[in-house]
Amino acid sequence: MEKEAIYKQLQAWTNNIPLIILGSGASVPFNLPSMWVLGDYIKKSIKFSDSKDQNQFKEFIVEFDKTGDLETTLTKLQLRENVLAEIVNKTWELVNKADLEAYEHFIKKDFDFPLAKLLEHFLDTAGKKVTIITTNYDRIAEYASSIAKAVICNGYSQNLIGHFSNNIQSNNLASLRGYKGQVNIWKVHGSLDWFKSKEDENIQLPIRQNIPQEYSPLIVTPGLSKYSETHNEPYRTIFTQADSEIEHANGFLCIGYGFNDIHVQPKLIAQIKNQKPIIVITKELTEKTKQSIIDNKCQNYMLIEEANSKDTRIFSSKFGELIIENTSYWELGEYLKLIIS
Amino acid sequence: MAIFKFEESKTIGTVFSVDTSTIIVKVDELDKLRKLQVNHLIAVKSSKAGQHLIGIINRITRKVSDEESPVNEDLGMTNFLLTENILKVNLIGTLIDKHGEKENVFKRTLDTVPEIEANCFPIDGENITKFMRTISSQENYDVPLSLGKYSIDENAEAFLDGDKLFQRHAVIVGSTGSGKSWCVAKLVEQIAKLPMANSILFDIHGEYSGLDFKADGIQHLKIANPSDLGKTGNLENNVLMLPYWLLTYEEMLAMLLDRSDSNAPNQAMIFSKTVFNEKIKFLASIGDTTFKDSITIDSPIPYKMENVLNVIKELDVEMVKGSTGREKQGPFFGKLTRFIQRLEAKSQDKRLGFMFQVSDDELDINWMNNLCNSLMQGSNNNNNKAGVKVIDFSEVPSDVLPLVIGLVARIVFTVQQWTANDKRHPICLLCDEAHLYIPERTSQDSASELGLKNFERIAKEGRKYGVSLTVISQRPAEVNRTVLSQCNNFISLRLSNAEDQSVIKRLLPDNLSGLTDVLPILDIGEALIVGDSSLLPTRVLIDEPTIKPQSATIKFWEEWSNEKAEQDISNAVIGLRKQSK
Repeated sequence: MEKEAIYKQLQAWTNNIPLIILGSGASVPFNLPSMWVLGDYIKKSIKFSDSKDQNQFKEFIVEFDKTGDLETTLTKLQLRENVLAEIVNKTWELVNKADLEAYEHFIKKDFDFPLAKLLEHFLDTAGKKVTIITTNYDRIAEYASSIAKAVICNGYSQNLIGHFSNNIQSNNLASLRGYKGQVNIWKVHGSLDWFKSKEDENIQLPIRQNIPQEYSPLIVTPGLSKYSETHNEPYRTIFTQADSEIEHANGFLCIGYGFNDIHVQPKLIAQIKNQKPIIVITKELTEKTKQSIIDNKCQNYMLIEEANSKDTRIFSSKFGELIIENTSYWELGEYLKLIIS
Repeated sequence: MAIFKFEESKTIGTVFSVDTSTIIVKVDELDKLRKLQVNHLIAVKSSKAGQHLIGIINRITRKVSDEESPVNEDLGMTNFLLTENILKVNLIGTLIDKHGEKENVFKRTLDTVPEIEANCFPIDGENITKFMRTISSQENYDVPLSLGKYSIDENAEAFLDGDKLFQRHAVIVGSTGSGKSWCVAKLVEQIAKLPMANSILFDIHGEYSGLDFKADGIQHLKIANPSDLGKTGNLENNVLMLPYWLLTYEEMLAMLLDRSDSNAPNQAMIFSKTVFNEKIKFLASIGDTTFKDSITIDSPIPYKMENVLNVIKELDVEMVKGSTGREKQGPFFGKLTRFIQRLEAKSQDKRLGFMFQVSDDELDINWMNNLCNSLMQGSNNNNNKAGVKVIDFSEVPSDVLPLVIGLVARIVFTVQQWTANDKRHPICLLCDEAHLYIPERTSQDSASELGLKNFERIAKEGRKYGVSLTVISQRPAEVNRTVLSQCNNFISLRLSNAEDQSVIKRLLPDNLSGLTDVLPILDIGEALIVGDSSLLPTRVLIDEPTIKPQSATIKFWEEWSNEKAEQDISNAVIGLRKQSK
């Protein structure tokens, strides 16, 4: 009976079109590199000629070997411009490579792509509008939206060379004919598709194989640069939009999101403390997640993670903690089986 | 699998305005408007994912705007541009793709209001079949209750929720010749198939007592006619006696007492005292120890009417000693004469023989047990393995009909009331021609008033004791309103009388009252089913029952054209004199 009640609760909250928050966990099924793989790749593939750069990079390697965590390493060091730029480029390269491989699979349709199914489900409503906020650089959200036949609104005009505008989202894109609806994707840490020219021109160049000459990728790597970078466009507009959408959301569905980000967090937590429902599905709930939600005495939550390598554990504000055996509802694909018939 | 997958291009239009459960849909393409019909179903996209709102088209209008068209423009073209094609739709529920572990659940509630501009889609073709199947096969009983097929989709069988149909009382109405008896037969046929079925059909015209209406699980009983009187073993032969001692004090007085008589209070007092004494005497004579201290005047204990008469007669001529020692007339001298006459007349009336001319069988203390057993035992417990008991009242005079049927209903209800909760087996009373004994206006005749009270009580409280009413009538306008208002399921066949239509209309919720517009144009054997038992108000073509009621319409012209047509008036006259066929 309790199971039935939990399913009904999950269905009610999910079908109410919550705002989707994608964390790095959402990209894992598509073989996108983890922080460790990324750090390892950076460590092995970068060479500097300048001695100051070389020294600093050595420092980076020592620190990384010690912690094994790219994020902590980058947070500890005040990197030189050159070194940072190179790290950004390498990050772009590795993530882009994996992303394009995933793209091939989506075209060939030999990958199960539950996110696309979720978006289709959400767009099949009177409102025809979904919002995704993500900290990932990859294009998984865009692919999913495209497969779901939606218009993408991410602040850039959807063209071969896309220009940024801070009012593109005010169009009524959901009712465009030939599309199933509109997906707003707010990528708060930038995207593989975004580049900045030397003249500070901010454009979108979709599905590049490599970084164009004289351009640098617009992605925010973890670490101290995260704070300084994000005062500029397109981030300012994107944050404003993301904040306002979080404020107006019906609820939240977090997929593989670990509550480790200062750009999304504060608004989100204020809203869920304000009784908006939140569902988190992830392989392993981070301490930060439990702290932010359970310890914060939020009143409407469902946290779903893996347990015992074969079961699903659910923490719920209403039903407490319980385990549903031999299920993996913490995976989006399995979760959707509860929602979509 | 979700049953609805709508292509955007199939949309008939978008929501233009919303007023609680009524919406206006604007149709852009005239072609699509043409294909729509009133009473068709449409689906409206909800603001929630995985849900559709379901509505019934109530009105289709194509109107030209009142604004004056500019003279200089081509008039045809302008008219076209100013045309507004509009549907009025009553929303009736929500189809939820997934609800807990169940899929495709239809709920009669609207928890979201439709959004302006939301797309609307027709439910037709394959979708209607799928949808109808979904709403039909909600509960899977071994023998599901089905009356027939949906008019809008003949591939889908219309299942009803049998629990809800009987729990909350039902009404089956339809003008004469609309297929009402057919519908009842179909219902009875299905009840009879159940292993522990339990219902009583009051058959006023003997329609359901014919040879064609025989099947396993159906037992025919008949109220005793003059030729059955005085015989023993009547009950075993399915002949029903309803002895006077089953009547309550009130019922007795209603039958026997002339209230305008100045001696009425005396008569009532003497009568009740005597009856009570006789009941006690009877219990003493059979050596009873269980009841004797606790019976009341109303307790159904046998007693001999002759003894009562003798006692009253004695009182009527009794002389007592006066103060001077001379004999003088007793206190009731001559005051009971008229009452005695009435009582004698009634008890000798052959038409009321089933009540007064009882044999030794019916004067046995266990007889009532046997009666209740044969009327109220479910199929498996019943000696005849019959769950449906058809009682033929066709030979009961119409003036006592309300009293007699009311009496049977009261016995059933009180026995149910006195059964322990866990042992109570639900029973349904199918009241054919209900306007005859559950009338809206009762005459001054208090006997029928008492019968009606029994039904009103069952309608109001029966649910709690597992007694259900199914009111069957061709004149809903003449059926008691209190009883009708307690019924939550309507199976209405064609009703041509405006008064009758309005009765049904009044009983429906506001947003469904538009449905009653079809009542006069229903086909024969087609029913409009509304209520708890069916998720959607639907039109159903009732299947042919295998057992047939004897109510086939007489073909006048054909009979008149038949040279060899037979007539038998002399036997009819004999029957009339004997008061039996």
